[in-house]
This record gives sequence, structure tokens and C-alpha cells, in this order.
Amino acid sequence: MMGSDARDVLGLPSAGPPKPATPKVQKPKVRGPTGMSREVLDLKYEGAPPISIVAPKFKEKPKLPFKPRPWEETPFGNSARKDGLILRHWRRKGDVSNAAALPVTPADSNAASEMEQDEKAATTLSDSHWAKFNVKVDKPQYTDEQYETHLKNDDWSKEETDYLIDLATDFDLRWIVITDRYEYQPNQQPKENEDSMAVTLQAKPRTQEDMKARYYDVAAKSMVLHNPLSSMSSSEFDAHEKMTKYDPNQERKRKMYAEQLMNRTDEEKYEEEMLLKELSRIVLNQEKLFNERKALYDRLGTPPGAPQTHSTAMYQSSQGLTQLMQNLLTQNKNKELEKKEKRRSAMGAEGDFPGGPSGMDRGQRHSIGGGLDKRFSFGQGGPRQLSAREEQKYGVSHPNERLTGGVQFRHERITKAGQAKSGVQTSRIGAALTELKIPQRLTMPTAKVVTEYEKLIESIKTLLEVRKLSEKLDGEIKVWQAQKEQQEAKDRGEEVKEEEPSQTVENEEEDEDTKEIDEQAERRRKAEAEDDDEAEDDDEDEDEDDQNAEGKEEEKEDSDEEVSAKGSNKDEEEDAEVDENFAGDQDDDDEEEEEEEGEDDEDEEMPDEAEAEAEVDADNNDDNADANEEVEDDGASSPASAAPTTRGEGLRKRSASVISHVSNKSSKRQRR
Amino acid sequence: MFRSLINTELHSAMATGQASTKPPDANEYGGDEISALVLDPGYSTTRAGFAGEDVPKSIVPSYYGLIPSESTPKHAKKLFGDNSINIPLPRISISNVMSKEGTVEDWDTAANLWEYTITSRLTNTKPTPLASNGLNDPNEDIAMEGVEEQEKPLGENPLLMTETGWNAGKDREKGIEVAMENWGCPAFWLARNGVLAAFASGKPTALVVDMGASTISVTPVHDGLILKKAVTRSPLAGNFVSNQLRLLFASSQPPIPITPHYLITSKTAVDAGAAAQATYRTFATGTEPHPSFRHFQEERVLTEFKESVVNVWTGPGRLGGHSPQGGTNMDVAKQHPGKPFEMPDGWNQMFPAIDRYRAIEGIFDHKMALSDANNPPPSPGQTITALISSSLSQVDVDLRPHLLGNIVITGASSWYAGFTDRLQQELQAAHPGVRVRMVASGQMVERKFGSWIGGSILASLGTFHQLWISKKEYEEHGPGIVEKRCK
Ligand SMILES: Nc1ncnc2c1ncn2[C@@H]1O[C@H](COP(=O)(O)OP(=O)(O)O)[C@@H](O)[C@H]1O
Ligand SMILES: [Mg+2]
Repeated sequence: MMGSDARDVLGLPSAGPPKPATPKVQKPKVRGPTGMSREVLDLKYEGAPPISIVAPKFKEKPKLPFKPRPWEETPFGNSARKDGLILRHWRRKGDVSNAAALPVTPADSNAASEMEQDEKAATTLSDSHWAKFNVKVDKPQYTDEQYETHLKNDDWSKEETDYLIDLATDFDLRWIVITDRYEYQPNQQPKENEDSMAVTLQAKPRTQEDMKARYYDVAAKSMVLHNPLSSMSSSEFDAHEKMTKYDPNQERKRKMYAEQLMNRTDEEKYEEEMLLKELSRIVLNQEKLFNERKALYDRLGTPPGAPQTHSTAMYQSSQGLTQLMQNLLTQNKNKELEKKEKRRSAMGAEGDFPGGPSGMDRGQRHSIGGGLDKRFSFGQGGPRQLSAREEQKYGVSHPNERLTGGVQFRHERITKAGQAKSGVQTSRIGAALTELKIPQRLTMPTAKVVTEYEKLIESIKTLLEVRKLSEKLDGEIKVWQAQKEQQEAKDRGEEVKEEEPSQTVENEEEDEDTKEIDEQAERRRKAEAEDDDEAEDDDEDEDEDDQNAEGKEEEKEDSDEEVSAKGSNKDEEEDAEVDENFAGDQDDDDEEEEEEEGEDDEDEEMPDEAEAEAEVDADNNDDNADANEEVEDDGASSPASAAPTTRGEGLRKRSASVISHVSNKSSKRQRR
Repeated sequence: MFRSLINTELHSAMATGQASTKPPDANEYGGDEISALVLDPGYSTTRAGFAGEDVPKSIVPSYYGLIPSESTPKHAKKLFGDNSINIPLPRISISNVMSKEGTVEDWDTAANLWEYTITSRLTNTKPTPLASNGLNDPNEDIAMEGVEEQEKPLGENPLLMTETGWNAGKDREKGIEVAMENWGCPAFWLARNGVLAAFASGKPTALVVDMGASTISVTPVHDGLILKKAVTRSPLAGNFVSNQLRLLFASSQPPIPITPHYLITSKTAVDAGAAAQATYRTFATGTEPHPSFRHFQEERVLTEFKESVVNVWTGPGRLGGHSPQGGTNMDVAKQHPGKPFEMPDGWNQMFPAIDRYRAIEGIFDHKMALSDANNPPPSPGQTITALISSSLSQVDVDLRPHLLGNIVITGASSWYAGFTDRLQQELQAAHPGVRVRMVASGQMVERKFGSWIGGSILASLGTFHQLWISKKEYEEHGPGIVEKRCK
């Protein structure tokens, strides 16, 4: 501190050299409008911030018109407590406004004795006014007798019921907590007859619904026992009604739905919303929509093959719609093909033109995929991780083997599964399905259902095959018996007329008739070659799906080759080796589903698609092919007429394997 | 019980009818303080204070110092409190009274430590009531009685103690034994710290996420009661982050040493990244502190680092994931600003954002955790989001949306910038159909002392008077009464 400052403070005139005038001195001259406080003015005209110098001063003691009442630490009891705990709190002296009298029980006397010194006349103690908030639930009461006659339950022992009721009252019927704390140990119960209780009982797992159901049951019944329904007050009656109406199964179901609702993903939510909107829209515009649709059909021209009526009724079922779609598609395809032809001829030798329909498909799928991408990509960058549940829902699988084949729709799979190589077979499968009361067209073809359906069809096919086989064997036995008789007759020197073996075979169907002869011949030949071929067979079977179409086409040309001969008898082989095919099928399924996911197409798929088409063609030509086969096989059958013993053995082996396989299958199915 | 006490006072007052012909007056909703004490032992600190106050007055580390005595190795000297355990006394070693599980490990020492916590700051400062301090009494006998009373440190204060949600069996009974036998408390109560943290946020039903020092726990609370079977926990808490920092420092090029304060005698300022210029303290052989002392002191430096530098990556997505603009989030994080930190020896550096995020990312994403032989990588089920989902999956479906709408965040380790946002994001993504809401106090003390504050509220409630376990009840039923009453 400088001398001048001290002088300033003391208000003495300055000594020494005169100081230059400080700006502070000029400050007060600047005057703003009156009515403004100095602080505000100072903000306006910049200058030193205002410093108010206030001498420190204690606040004056208020002069109160009354004497202060002192606080004192007062002991108090609580009537809600049974142990007479005395606590202390600070209260104004002589303030007894909200203290109810609490009589001192003898149990409190020693605790109170200390207190007696504090309060002169201490016969009463103030009661905590919180005591009245101590409320309890009414506990259902029942005697042992009442339990035996009215409340007995096979699932609940009396001990466990008691435990439940105690717990429920303890936790004031907060079921969530009761469920959490439920830890009943049955081996605590007194053992009456030692021998039967030798094994310590396991605690039954109890769900909240079980507990509630039991409790409400007991509570409702004991309510009636104490107070018959007729004399209940309306609130009691309501409570009783509620308790008797409790349905644990409905609760369980509700919770399941609630859980599902909670676990919805954003996409599912979005989808659901869209579906609901769509539904309301459809409901609103149904009439309009029908009219529009009708107009559209009219515009498109009724597709060929459809009856020439102008009613749209036939398109209102999904079946009708599919048919319509197929019709339109074939029309479209035909047009496309025509165009392609034209273009190809126009382009001449300018190079290969990418496949028409498949190329178009690819483009379309790309656009669908793009749309999906857009929809599913909100909120998250990069590929989305699917949870296990979603994977199941979308049918994503992670197979280890390489997959073959292109895109397939489930409805294609269903129709394909239901179709056998021959019409008769197909109708038989149909008959079997109707017998099993399974509709040919599944009502809810989810991935799981379709897979099961395919398995079922496979089994039916196998069964039919076995039936056919057994019939054939019967026939063959007859033939050989006849031959044997012939032989014997010949040996005996008798002259017997030549007989066609096939005539002894009983046949219900005409077209099956001829085929079966061929198969017979084929079998004979195969039986001989079987041992050698087995390894080869396996290999071929694995690739069969791929080779199918090719095999079919080939067989028309080089029928002498064994491969083609086998191809002709494909369905039999398929059945014999169902296991492998089966595995193969599943792989295919997996892949289909992945494709449905909208994954990017790869160039590899092109040939597969072409193949699939080829297969369709082959299927269409099935009858012709069969006819061809018959002719071809006739030729092939002739060399295979030696060594009946070996033949018989081969047959037996084969049928045995088929039968054992079938029995395996059926037992599997039963287990399922 | 609790419901009538905490939630629906008004309701039950009307329902009982007996004493309420006139409407209850205003102070029936308030507290009624009885000089109760609240003791909240945690792994890092033990908190104690009077019920009704808003912060604990006494905060003492749960670590204690041990100085072995040469003559009688059994009688090692125990040191408590910040003032004594941070001094590098000869051969001092540091231990903790709590186990890594958050339960008490060494009951004898714990009782000593807690007594120190209470008496050093709380009860000793409170004058003995005039009526019983012996000065005004002519009668000698009564004075003697008074002295006897005074030998027990807490003869006048009911005590509310906290415990973890998974504390069970004998550990629960030990608390009341210490309170009643050693300290002479007139009344005792044992409360779950999850419930208390929920009360501190004014929620009787909540999902409490407590990020402490040794454990991170998720406790569903329904109507003031924990759902025991659904309590989940894992060790990915404050100490885990500290160890992540140790690994991060060790793996950086060149490795960053952590030199605690006690080793520095003097230092000079150096440029960022330059080697430290400090003179270090040396100890004569035989007087060096135990390695546990150094570890404890390092932990203090790391806590400072955690407070000022570590940040939680707030998305979108995880730090190890992809950003919506393409590229990885790691690349995005590289663009973010760093933060400087100076070690006690003067060494300082700008810590890049990626390290700041990386240190704690392991709590959310197990794949991002650093690990070595001593620090095994966490399992996917140990992350905070996994703990919450597994806890939720074990509670009733009807309660889940309610819990998700009331997620109470507590514990000092939740104080990282961005922690709440990130958790909100992760949970909302995992439960798109439900509205996820966090209840996280913006006040440091409320976060740090959440469970203590809840205890303070509970023990000062007028309605709580009837819940206390009294000394008489204890004498009648023994310590087993805790299991029966404190559910
Ligand atoms: N500001 C902060 N930011 C991040 N972590 C902190 C902060 N303050 C303390 N911590 C850490 O929090 C932990 C202590 O949390 P606390 O809830 O007190 O644990 P406990 O209840 O187990 O004692 C310590 O590991 C400490 O390092
Ligand atoms: Mg804690």
C-alpha cells in the first residue's frame, strides 16, 4: 500500500507532487437520464466497475414479541411396533398437537424408566403418527379340516400351500416379488411314512400363474367358508368373482404375446403397420378394387384356357390367381421367346445373347433386392446382424457344403413334391394325402411346414414304392413258379405252350402294366451288376439332381449306356437311396431360402436356372420319354435272363433294404 | 410394508380409515428425523452420514494401510483414512476390507474401518446430551450408567447399512451383530443399495445400473424390493477401466509409465511428449512401501485420468462398427479432438480421441477390450448391455417395459462423458418396441453417492420408524432376524 492510498483513506490532503487527475473524478459529470440506477449507467458509460464499500455489520437481533420456545429431543414410541422401541426426535418444547397417547406397557418399563427422567410425568408417551399407515393384506384362513375337505389339490401339498400363502401375505400380494422369492423346499416337510418318502422330493418349478391360480383358489374358497356367498358385501363378492375367474392359461398366453410384441424389431413393426394400413385400405376399397380388377382383366383379354365368362369370381381365390398368373406368364414368355427369336435372327452371328427370361429375372430380382435394401437399412450402417430368431424367421441357414441350384419358391417346392414321375403315382400320392386329411395345397406353407411336407411326401413315395415292389415280387414269384412248373413239365417230357410271363402279373393300370415289365427286366440286369456298381451308384446319386435333366435328355439318344438306363428308372433309385437324396434336398431348401433373402445373384446361377427350365421341359415331356424308355428297355431286357438264383438274391437284398429303410422312416416320423 | 410406506401413503391412509377422520396434515408426507446414521460401504470408499442430509459427511477409502511390526508380526498396525494411508510409511501395504464381489471380506477390519468412518467425523463432533453427560447429575450411580452407555460409540443412533443385491447368508447377519454388539445401536436396518439408488431418484420401481469400482451390477427393483434372481453383475467397472488404461499405456509407443505422486520430489515442466524431468524419491532398503501401495497410488492417478480424459463413444453404432457414411467408426474417431493430460512427473501428451474412447469401449463391446495374461478378455455376457438384457429376461414380461422406462444410472464410474447417451442408444436398438428412458442425475454427488442418499431419505422417513429392527428384537431373535425382516 502506498502512502497516498493511506492518506486517501484517512481523508488527508495529499503530500508531495500533485497527482494527475484520475478519470474517476470526471466520471460523475456524465449524467444519464434520471431514474436509472448507478450500476446500469455504469454499464452504459464504460468505466470502473462499481464497488460498493459496505462496512461489515452483523444483522441486528430481531426483537421478538414472544419468548422463543426451545427444541428438545423427545422420545416417542410407535403403536405399530410390538417391541416398544423408543426413538427420539427433535420437537418444540410443549408441542403435543399431533401426539396421541400411547400407554406404556410393562415390557417398555425399563426403556421407559430412562425416559421418565426426561419427562416429569411420564405415564404416557407420544405415538408416532406414522403408525396408522401400517396396513396388511387379509390372509386367507383355513383349518386343517377345511383344507382336507375343500382345498385339497394333487399338485400342491398342504405345506407348500401354507408356504405360498405366507409368502403372498408377506409381500402383500406383489406377485412379481413372490415369484422371485419363491424357494419352497419340499424335503422340509415332516415325514409321516418313512418308506414312501425315502427319495427326497424335488421342488416343483412354479410359475407365477401357477402360484396365482392356487392362491386365488384357496382364497376364494376360504372366503366362502367364512362367509357364504349370499351374505357377502358387494365388494367382497366382486373380489370373489375376480379370484374364481382367474385363468392361468389365458394369462400365460397373454404373456407370450406380450413378449413377442416386445421383441418386435423395427422392421417387423414397420411391416405390421404397413400390413394393417393395407388391410384397412383393402377393406375400405374392396368394392372399387373388384371393379378395377375386373376392368383390368377385361383389358388384358381373358387368358387362353379360361372359360369365356366375364365373372371375376374365379380369380378371387388364390388358386385362381396363381393360375391366372401362370397363364399370363406363359403368354409373356411365348412373346418374349418370339421376340428373342426375331432378334437373334436379326443379330445373326454377332455373338451370344444373354438368356432372355433368365436375364429378365435377374434384373427384376435386382430391383427387388434394392428395394429391400433401402427399407432395411435405416438406422444402421453396414450389413445387419440377424438374431437367431430372425434367422429362423427369414429362413437363413449357414450350410457347410457348397450349394447348387437357383431360386425356388416354396409353392414350387410343394407342387414339385406332390408330383411323381407318372400320373398314376401322382394320383396315388394325392389319394394318400386325402386319406391323411392333408390338403394338397397347404394353407400355411412356412419354411418349416414345407420341409415337413416334403418329408411326408418322400415317405409316401417310399411306401408306394414298397407296395409296388411287393406286388412285383409277388408277380415275379408267380412267373418263376410258372416257369418252374413248365420246366418240370418239360423235364417230364410234357409239351407245354409258351406263356408270356407278364400275363401272370396282376395289373390294375394299363400304363403301369408295360412299364413294370421293363422294370422287371431292368431289375434282373441290375441285380447282376449291383455289387460292382454300388460305389458308382452312390456317386451318381449325389449328383443326381444336377444330372437329372441332362440324364433325361441324354437317354433319348444313347439308350445303350447304363447311365441313361438308370436315369429312366430314376424314381426307384431315388427311393432306394432316400437318405442321400433327402440330405441333398435339404441343402437345396436351405439355398432356396437364402436366395429368397434377396441375396445378390451370382453368375454361377445362370446355368442352374437354365437347367431348372430344362427340367420343366423334361417334365412336360415325361410321357413321351416314358414311352421311349419302354421301347429302349425292351431291347435291354433280353440279355438279362440268366441265373435265377442270383437274381432272386439281389431282389431280396434290395427289397429288404428298402423295407428296412421305410420302417426307419416311419419310426422317425412317429417320433416326430 | 414398503408399499404402504413409500408409495401410497395417501392411499393407505384413506384405506385404513381408523385414524383418519380428518385429512392428514402436510407434514405426514415429510420426514421425521431420529438422528439415524447411514453407512454405505463400497469397494472404493465407505460413505457415512446422518439420515436426512443430502451428502455423506464422512467419506473414507475402503482401503486400509498395514504396517507390520517387527516384534509381533500378528499385531500389524492398521491405518485408516485418506490422511494416513497415502503416506509412504516404511513397509506400508494396502489392502481392502471389501472383496472384489462387493461384499465384506475382512469383517474385523471392516468393523474398525466403519467405526473410524463414523466416529472420526460424525458422532464425536456431536456433544453428548446435557442431561446425561454426568455434569448436571448429583447422583453418582446414574453417572456411572451414563459412562457405560458412552462406551458404545453409537448408543443413540439407529443405523441403516447398505448391502449389495447378491449379499446373502452369514454376511447379512454380520452387519447387525457389529451394529448391536460392538456399537450398541438402538435400532438397525439393512437395505439393498440398488433399492436405495432407486429411491434417491424417486423411483420405487426401476432397473438400477450401478457402475462401482469393482462391480457393475444391474438390479431390478419392484415396489421397493429387489428381484433377487434377476440381479446380474460383472467385473467390468471402474477398476476394469483402470486396467484397460494400464494396458493402453503399456502398449503405446513408447510405453507411458505411471509414476504416482509420492515418488516425485521435484519436477520441471516439459514439452508435450518429451521425457519427464523430475527427481524421484528413493527409499532405503527395507523401508520401501509394499507394491500394493504403489498400485493404490497409481489407481489415484488413473482415477484422475478417467475423470478428465476418458470418454464414451456415442455412436452412431459401436466404436468397432461401421459408420453410416461408410468406413469404420475407428476412422471417424481419429478425426475427433484429443485431450491433454499431465502425469505427476511432468510428462504430458495429447491423448488422441481414439484412446480416450478405447479405454471404456470394452464395457459395451467385449471385442474391443484390451487384454493380456493378467487381464483376460471379458466374455460377451459381461458387457453392460448383455447384463441388462439377461436381467430383463428373468423378470416378468409385464414389468419389462416399465423397467426399461426407468433405468437408474448410479455409481461414480458412470460419470464418463457420453455414458448415458451410449447406453440409451444401445438399449433402444435392442428394444425397438419399448421406450427406453434413463434416469441419471446430472449432479456428480448424486451419481457418486446415489445409494447413500437413498438410505438417507429412507431412514429419515416418519413411516420408516416401524420398520427398524430394535435392539430388543435382536436380543429376542438373534441375528437371523435380518433375513426375516430386511427382505
Ligand atoms: N469422475 C469420474 N469419472 C469416472 N470414473 C470415476 C470418477 N470418479 C470416480 N471414478 C471411479 O469410480 C469408481 C468408484 O465408484 P463408486 O461408485 O464410488 O464405487 P463403490 O461403490 O464400489 O465404492 C472408482 O473406480 C473410480 O476410479
Ligand atoms: Mg457402489
